[in-house]
Amino acid sequence: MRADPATAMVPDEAVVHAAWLYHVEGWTQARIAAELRTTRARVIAWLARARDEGVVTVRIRGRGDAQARLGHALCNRFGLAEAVVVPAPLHAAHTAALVGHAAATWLTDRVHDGVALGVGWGETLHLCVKAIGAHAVPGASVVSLLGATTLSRTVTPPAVARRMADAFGAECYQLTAPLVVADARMRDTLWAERGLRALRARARKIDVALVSVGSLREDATLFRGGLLAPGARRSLVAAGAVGDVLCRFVDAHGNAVDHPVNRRMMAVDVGDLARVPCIAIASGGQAKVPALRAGLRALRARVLITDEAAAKGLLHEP
Amino acid sequence: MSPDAGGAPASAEHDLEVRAAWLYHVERLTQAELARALRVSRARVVRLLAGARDHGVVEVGVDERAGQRIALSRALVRRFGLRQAIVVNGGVRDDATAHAVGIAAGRYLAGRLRDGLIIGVGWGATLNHALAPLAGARAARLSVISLLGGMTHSRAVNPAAVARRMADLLHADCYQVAAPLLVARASLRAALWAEPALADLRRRARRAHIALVSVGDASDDATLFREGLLSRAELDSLRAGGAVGDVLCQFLDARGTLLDHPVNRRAVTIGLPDLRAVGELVVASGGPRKIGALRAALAALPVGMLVTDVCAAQGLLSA
Repeated sequence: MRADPATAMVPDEAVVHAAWLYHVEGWTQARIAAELRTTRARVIAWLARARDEGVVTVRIRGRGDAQARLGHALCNRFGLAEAVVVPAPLHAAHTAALVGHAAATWLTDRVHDGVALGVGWGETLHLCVKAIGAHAVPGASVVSLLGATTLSRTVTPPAVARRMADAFGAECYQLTAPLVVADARMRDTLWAERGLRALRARARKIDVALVSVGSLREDATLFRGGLLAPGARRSLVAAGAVGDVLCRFVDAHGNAVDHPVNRRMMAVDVGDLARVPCIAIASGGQAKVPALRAGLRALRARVLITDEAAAKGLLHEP
Repeated sequence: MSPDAGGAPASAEHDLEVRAAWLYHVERLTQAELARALRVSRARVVRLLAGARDHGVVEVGVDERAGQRIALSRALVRRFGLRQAIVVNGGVRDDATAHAVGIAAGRYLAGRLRDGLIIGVGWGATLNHALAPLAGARAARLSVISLLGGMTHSRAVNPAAVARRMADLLHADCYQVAAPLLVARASLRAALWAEPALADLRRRARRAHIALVSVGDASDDATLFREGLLSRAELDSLRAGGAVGDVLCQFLDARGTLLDHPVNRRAVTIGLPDLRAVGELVVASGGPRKIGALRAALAALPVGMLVTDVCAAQGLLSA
């Protein structure tokens, strides 16, 4: 049924109809099956497709008492304008889905006509884009703050920026250079290119930046994908790094560590974002706590979107 | 705000709604899994999810134009005594509308397939588009019957080709009206239907479980005219006789009455009485040109399912 691209572009009215009856009119699945003269199993499949294909968008606006109190405490401790804390997931592997979902709600509430948005990468932002659905914002633009990888996956920077731009119907500006280059000379040569200089100038003028932070665990995206050698991870830890912010490895105070890897990354510099009025970090999970603490300092972020485990870790004295 | 046992029950309920909302909408637990995770009954889960929606904990958005299409489909069902109606967004151009309506009809048919199903099918651009969603659909011992005669030469959508292609996609037996769509005289048509092979096909068509047809209009853009099957003089005389369009080459007036006209007597097609005998009649057509013909077909035939677009639905409901 998916073979014909012309067919795939036409939304399935049965899926829309079922989603409407279920989510807007509050019908039961059994009643929808009777109305549309089909089986309950097919209705369930349609409802799942409605979610996957962005026919239905869900925004969770309620805050539990515990999460609200954690949010207040984070604002006070880190001088944030806003902290969104999602509840602990049933499965730890779903942390990125919850944080990404909350980031989607936060972002769609704040984007306005003509907004210029800078984005990072990773699982959380990938799932954030999925949760946005279709949300047209006239005149919007999306800037990728990070270079590209030759192996493109859903979480890599160009893919996140591209799909974010698609969700908002926005212009997309890519940092068209490898994320990791051989050395500092290559990096500087590339940044001297006119197109890349223009991209960097554009990044300095964005209205909102949404990024995540990376831990130094073996399963962190930079290491899992083989972009950096396992040996680099050990020597970064030895140099005092606790994680990365926009692919810059930082110590617990948020300062860049003195390490060759930090001179080989094609990424918009943290300093370039000094004048950006709203920087939001979206990351969760216990393992990200040191990187989050460092990231909040390095970026002077105004907004944090995280989960209960990371919130408690951040509020616990280091 | 204290979370201890003395806390307000309303707040505890709110927290539970929030937790249920995340588990259900983001972690995608089923309602049964949710009941186990929260250690509450299934009925309580349903109430929690409904409460989350009613109390604004969760906002669910569905394409806002969907509401209008569903309201139109309900109004069509009421007004024309249908069993069901599907209303899709049409296009600016007729071919885009035919595409959207055809695909919706094809998806509906794909959902109705079961072993041994006998499908009758008409022709036209819309039904041609209905074929794509049938690719990959599976059921055993299907038959597809073409409901009208063929064309010796065709520029676009040969009626026989729609049935043939549908049968190929569904791995179905295909039965064709092995005769021209329009013959010279009514007496020849009667003689053809008396042929054992054609008489057998006609009996088979009356036993169809489902028939999928579209309507044609009587304008200069009508397929029958553009394909050269009808002459200018014939089209003009049909219009002068009050024709607003056709179903299976049977021209109807605005009230759905079969016109007493030579063209209707010369067309080798499964007639309207035969069509009334099939189990479920599905009519798929959309766009502004088809409104009059659709209204006539709805008056003439016991239509079960109407697949159309927003424009035609509004036109049908406005009079």
